[in-house]
Amino acid sequence: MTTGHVDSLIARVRGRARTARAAAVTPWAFLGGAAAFAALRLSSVPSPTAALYGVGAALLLVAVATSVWGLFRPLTAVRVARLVDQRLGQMDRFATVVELGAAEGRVIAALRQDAAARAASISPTDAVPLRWSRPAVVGLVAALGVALAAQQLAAPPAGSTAAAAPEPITVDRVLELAEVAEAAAEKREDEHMAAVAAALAELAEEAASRNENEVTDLARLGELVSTLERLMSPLGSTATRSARADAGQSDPGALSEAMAALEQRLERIATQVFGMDTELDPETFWLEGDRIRQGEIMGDAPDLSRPAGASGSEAPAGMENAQAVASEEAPQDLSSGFIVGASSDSSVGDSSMAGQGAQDLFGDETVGASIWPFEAIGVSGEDDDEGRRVNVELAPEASETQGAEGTFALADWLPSSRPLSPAGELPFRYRSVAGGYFLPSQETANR
Amino acid sequence: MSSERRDHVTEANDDLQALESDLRSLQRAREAITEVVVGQDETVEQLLVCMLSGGHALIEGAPGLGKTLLVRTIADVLGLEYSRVQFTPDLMPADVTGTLALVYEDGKPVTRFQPGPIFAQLVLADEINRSTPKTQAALLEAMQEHTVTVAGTAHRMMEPFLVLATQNPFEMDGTYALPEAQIDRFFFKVTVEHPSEETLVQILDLTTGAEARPARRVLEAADLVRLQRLVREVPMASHVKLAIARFVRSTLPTETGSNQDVRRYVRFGVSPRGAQALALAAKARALLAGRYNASLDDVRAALLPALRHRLQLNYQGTAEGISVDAMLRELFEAQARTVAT
Repeated sequence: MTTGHVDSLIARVRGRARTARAAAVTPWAFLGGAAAFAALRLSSVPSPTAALYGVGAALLLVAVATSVWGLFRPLTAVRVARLVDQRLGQMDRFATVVELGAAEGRVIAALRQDAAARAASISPTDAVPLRWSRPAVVGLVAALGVALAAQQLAAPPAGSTAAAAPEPITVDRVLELAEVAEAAAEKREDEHMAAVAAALAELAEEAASRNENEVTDLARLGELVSTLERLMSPLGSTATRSARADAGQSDPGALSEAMAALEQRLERIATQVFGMDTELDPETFWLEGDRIRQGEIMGDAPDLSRPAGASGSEAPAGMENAQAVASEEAPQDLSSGFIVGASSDSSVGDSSMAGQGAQDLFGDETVGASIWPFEAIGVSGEDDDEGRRVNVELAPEASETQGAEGTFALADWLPSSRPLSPAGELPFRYRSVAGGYFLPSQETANR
Repeated sequence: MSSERRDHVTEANDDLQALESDLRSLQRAREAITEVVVGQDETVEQLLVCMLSGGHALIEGAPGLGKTLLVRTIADVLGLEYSRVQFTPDLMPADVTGTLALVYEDGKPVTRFQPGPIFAQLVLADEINRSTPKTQAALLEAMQEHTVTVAGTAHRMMEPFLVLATQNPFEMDGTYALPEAQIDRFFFKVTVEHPSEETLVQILDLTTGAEARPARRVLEAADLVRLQRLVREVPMASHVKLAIARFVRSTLPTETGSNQDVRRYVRFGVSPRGAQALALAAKARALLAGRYNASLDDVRAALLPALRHRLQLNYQGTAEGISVDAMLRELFEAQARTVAT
């Protein structure tokens, strides 16, 4: 009988102890992960999908790492021997033998022999039984239940976008978008859009220079796409905007969707043959009935702000039949429209345009700015004691070319307390459009 | 296998067999003692541990609990030369150690050393606290040095030399309490408790019959000396030593971070001699139990007899009736937990 039996026992118990450690730690780690997942899922974290999967993956990694750590953490022979001594009531016999090493002596020899005889009859499973921590397992089951319930509660409605794996955004695709944007910018003579198109091309070329087939800087790409969207329409496409809001700037799926929509719209602009290239002077446009009219209004402009004898929220002149006209004339693409506002009074009112005056609102760029065909898809107005506010909803990339006089269709009458999009947030070209439909009140005109 | 190696293996096997034989003898001795002294198993174990460690014991208990019988039986079973000294206030040191006597040899008067009763292998110093400090000191010197010096000549004691002193904890009138420094020289302080009902019936059967059961000799004095040497070969794991060291430090009221009770009630903590006694007693207990290594359980078992007379309470502790045994147990368990895996 030699110490080989003791060494063998120590080795077997060590392996068993590591497994037991991992088994003990694992439920706790997964319990933490499941609890965190459920908490995140139930909380109102913005862009939940990306955040959840990110945090879930991190927690899973931590769980696995913790288990692996438990499996491979150093366990010295003395430590294992003491474990055996304690668990099996061996009165520190094995710890002493392991510590003594090759020491000699009558009593030590007897001790070694005694320990070896005992080691031969000891099973590692007796020394280290595999036990799952009951509180951890119960907690894990509960947390998993909550996580599953949370997943069901927070799941998107049936029929929504399938969670297919998003395709990577290739360099070619970005270059294609850049080319289309450049063409549209040229058509619109929009130097901002041209700059964005150049930035897109540069981003794609950077990726290509690294011999990459995909654009990996999704944050930057997202910014450029977002800018492009904003240039196309201050409120952007409702669908893509909401998708982007859900997925975040760098979600490839949402980005790809936004790029496809943008490309389509930019292509329409790039290939459009404009029938009008008119510079509109905000001071010379007015609304007559459902049409935009141009002429000298300053000084002797008709009072369009309020019909004679009208009061309260009564529709302004020319807008009484807005609903009827809208339903008759044009199905409107509300998703691609945007709303600009016009204040009824330059000195009073709570509109962000109010008090700033036309010059401040439209800026110097108004002068000489060109306007492309547009279509108004909605007009709203509001009367109060201080004047009247008219909000016009436009679809600048509407396919139908309008006449020089700027015909537009009227849609729902939607009372609004303020312009839906502050002029300060609009690109200057849109401001010029806004300026084109700015309807000064009679008081303003008189002043 | 070469003949040299074969011889080596044979020698090792012989050693192991001799060792096992010694341990079996020890077990038999223990059984032989408990056959005569019934109901005192723990006391018997403690005294055997003390004697295996080569230490002296102070036995404390009320009169009539069989202390003298116990010591006498141990001497008989272990084959030790026994003597008894009844300590009284008028007992002189020379009455214990011996003296120079004037004798005539060939018609000429010469002085010869007449050994006192201390010259035995097992000395029962009965009611040691009844003699004067001077006589106590004479005994304690012999206990410590294993020599007696008379008229400038040192006389070596017999081996083994073991003193089992008794004292009555109740009758304190006319006694001379042993000073702390001298109490510290006793390896163990063993308390003898009153027997239980069953034990008492056994005692009545054994002692009031026609014949008292005689003690049978199991060991010789030489065996005990050999076993005493063997005790010191018993290994002790490092964590057990660490537990002892930490525990002993924790009994010191001056130690930073010591227990609040220790700071409040303890006058003197356990000395290094106390730590040595504890470790040695643990080794002896392991051997007595047929094991070859000292464990934490052995230390735990030896804790009270080895240290209860070494931890001195202050006036406040004594006045408040603090139990030294309870304090020792609490402090040791606290330190034993710190060395757990």
